[in-house]
Amino acid sequence: MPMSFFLPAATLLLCLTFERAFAQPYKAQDSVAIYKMLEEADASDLSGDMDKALGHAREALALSKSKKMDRGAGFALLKIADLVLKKDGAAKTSALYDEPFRIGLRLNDSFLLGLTKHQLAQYYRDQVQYPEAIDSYKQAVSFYRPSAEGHYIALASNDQGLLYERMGQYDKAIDMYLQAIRFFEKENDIKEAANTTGNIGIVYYRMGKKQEAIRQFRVSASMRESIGDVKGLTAVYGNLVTAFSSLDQQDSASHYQRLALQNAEKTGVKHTLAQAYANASSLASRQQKWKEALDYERKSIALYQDVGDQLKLANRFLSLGLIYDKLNDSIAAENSFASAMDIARKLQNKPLFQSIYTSGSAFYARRNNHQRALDYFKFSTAYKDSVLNEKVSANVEELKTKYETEKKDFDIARLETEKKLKQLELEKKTAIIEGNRILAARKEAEIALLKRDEEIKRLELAQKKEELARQELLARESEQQVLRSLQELQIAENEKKLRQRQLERERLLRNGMIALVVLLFLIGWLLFNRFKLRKKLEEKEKLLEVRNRISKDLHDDIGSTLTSIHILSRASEQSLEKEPGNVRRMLGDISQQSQSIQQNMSDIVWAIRPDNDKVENLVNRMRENIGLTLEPRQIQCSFEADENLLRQSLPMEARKEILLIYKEAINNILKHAHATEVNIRVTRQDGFLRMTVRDNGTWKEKSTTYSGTGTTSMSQRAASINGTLRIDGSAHGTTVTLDVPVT
Amino acid sequence: MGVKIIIYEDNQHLRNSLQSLLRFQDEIELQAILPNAQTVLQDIEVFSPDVVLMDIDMPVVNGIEALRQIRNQYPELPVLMLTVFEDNDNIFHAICAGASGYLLKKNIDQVVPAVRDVLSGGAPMTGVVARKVLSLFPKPAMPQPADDHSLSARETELLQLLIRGYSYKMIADELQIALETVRTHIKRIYRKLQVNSATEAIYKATRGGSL
Repeated sequence: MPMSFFLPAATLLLCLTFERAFAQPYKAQDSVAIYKMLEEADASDLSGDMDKALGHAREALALSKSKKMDRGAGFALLKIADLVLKKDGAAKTSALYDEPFRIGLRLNDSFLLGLTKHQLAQYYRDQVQYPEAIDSYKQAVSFYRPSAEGHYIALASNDQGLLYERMGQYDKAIDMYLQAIRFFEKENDIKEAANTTGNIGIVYYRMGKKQEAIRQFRVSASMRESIGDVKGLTAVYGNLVTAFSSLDQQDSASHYQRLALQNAEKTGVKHTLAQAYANASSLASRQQKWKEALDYERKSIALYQDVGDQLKLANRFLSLGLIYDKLNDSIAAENSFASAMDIARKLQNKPLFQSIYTSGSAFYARRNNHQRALDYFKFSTAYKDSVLNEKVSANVEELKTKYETEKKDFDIARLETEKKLKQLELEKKTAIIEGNRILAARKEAEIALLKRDEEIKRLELAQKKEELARQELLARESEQQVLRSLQELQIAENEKKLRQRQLERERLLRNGMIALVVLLFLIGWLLFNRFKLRKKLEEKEKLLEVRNRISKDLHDDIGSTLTSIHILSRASEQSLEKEPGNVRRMLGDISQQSQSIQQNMSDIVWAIRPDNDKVENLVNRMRENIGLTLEPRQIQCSFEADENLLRQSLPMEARKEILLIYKEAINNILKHAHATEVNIRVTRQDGFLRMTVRDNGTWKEKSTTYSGTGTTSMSQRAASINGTLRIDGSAHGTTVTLDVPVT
Repeated sequence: MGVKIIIYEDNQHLRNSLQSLLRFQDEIELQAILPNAQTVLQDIEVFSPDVVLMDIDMPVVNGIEALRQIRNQYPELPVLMLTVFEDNDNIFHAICAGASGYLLKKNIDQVVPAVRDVLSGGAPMTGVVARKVLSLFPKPAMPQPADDHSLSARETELLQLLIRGYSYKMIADELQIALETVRTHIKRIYRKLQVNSATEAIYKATRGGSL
């Protein structure tokens, strides 16, 4: 937290009462007019209109000169110097004080002389030439008369105290302040006395005597309270906050912070209030009351934005960023840092850059963004070097000035030495001529001494020149180094950006590829699903077809047979009394038909079972059938099956139909052929499964039977599985041949 | 005096038909035809039958469970299983549990010869059952002296022919042995099956399962 200093107003206003103790060649009204002009210059100066003030001062100077009023001219010149300095702080205005000083000497005007030296001292102070400033202040004090210009003595003393304090000469500083207070008290100027008391407090604070500092601040505060100096109170309360806070007496600190804020509000000066809020925020931060700190910081920023103090604003944004960081709001923190950075860029303020980069580096390090942290650290270091470099340059500049001065002094001295040498040579010669050997020897020694002196001085100067050259070289080198490292950083940054852009492009490409692959995969999946669905639907349709066929089979075969059995039973019932012979026949039919249903059912169930899908299964069942049909009738059987056909798969329909055709064929043999031998073969015949059933039956009744329903149904069954059925009958037997395509 | 039999059958129509069919058979003396096997042991005590015909698919106590109960008390009482389908596990499990033979319901009119066969020690076997029998016995890696529990080479051969649809007679022709020898082989297979499945049942029981 910065200590608030109160420098007495740099402007030493001239609106004073003048003693007119001198005989004056000009008229009183001229004097009044001139001083009126100077008063107007003061007024314009106070209101901030420098050009107008300067105009009035020049007017006063012109009038003074025309009226030969030296004193007026002197004050006018002083005013002009003051104004010029204010307009352009860097202007070398020390020469402007030469004329008023001469006028002062001529008129023996203590006030004019004092004021001239006083202003010159302020000039040196602003140029940070503290020893020159103190010297000028001392001259000013010696010119001022304590009886009449006590107030100015006090001001000059206070200023000197301030300078001693800056130079770390605390004892001298306190001496000066005490002297200032004595004069202020004599003048009954409580406001300034209070200010100086506050300054003493600051010195004690600097010396580490914080309790004494607080005592001084409190005295200053009570003095200011008595006269209602709100601006001063704001400052002194701020100092009390700093002191208590440093002693970790947070309650007292908070108390004075509230008072400081209240008074800052009372001043109505935005700058003061903004600073007070910033101080309040700092205190809250130190007490880790982050929300409160945030609140104050925002108020401070709003006010600084109003008054347009960019540098303060940037520092506030930086501090705001740190508070957001503590509140863990990374985005807000980054935004705040960015705002600070914007201002820093606008101002091209290197120390500001440096502190932003330093804070930023720490910020990113905490968030584990080490790359960023490192970059910021590099920038921060580079700017630190750069700032340092500027200081070095300033030092070199100072060295140069000193060197030039010394060189001039040396030249003058050399000229004088030469003159003296000539004089001495002359005196030596005279002494020799006069025969005064002792005097000649003394002169000779003096000449040698002088020459050696000169030589030494010359060597010293050469050494200094060398030193200067080296410093300059060093400065230039380090400047170049800084420049180079900044450039390198810039290049690295650009490269990084480029790389990032490239990475982003690659990422985009990659994402695109991924999206494309995903899309293709999705499409593929959809198509596959559609395919699967269609396949499923097809399978379902197939299954439905199979089911329909089975139910049709059941209905056709079993349903109609059952109906037939039912009819036969009813008929037997009715015929039982009238035609008992018919009943026997009908019962026989019932028995035979129901058995056929059983067979049929069994075959259908067999065909449906998926583990019976090989030709082998069909062949086994066919062979099994022989044991149940032909064997009991004592018919000789041979059964042959092609081995390489057995593993062949057969669809459900085919195996069912083949089996049923086979059984029908066997059935026909049993019923009609009177055969004694049956030969059955299952073979492969280029893409066909061939089944032949051959018997050696005689052909009684056969012609009629084979054209009957039995063979018709056999042919139909064959056709339904794309097969062909051939029945070759001859006197020596019948051959049934079935060809069914197999894959 | 005919053979005394009792029948368990849950289908009422079939019960009626069987009663009608067997009423006039001299060889058979039908003592009772019962709808369930809940009181199977008492029934046997009351009727002391020579042969029991047992439907496999019955509610509450199925035929195989009833068969086990019978086997516990009457190890030698012939039990003939009745079933609709031959190609499911029922017949096989029944044989393993100690059935003496089986009769498909579609061949129910063959009940008299079937009873006769069972009493004479001839048990039927078809390809479907034969396949399961073969799969139960571990295949011997090399010819080894047949012990009491594993199938002999001849028995294996016989079962393979059965699987291929050969009848007993066809097997006899094929292997050039007497039909009676085929029956003896089958009977022996039955016994081995029962012993084997009993050891398997114990094995399975120790694993916490049940047959």
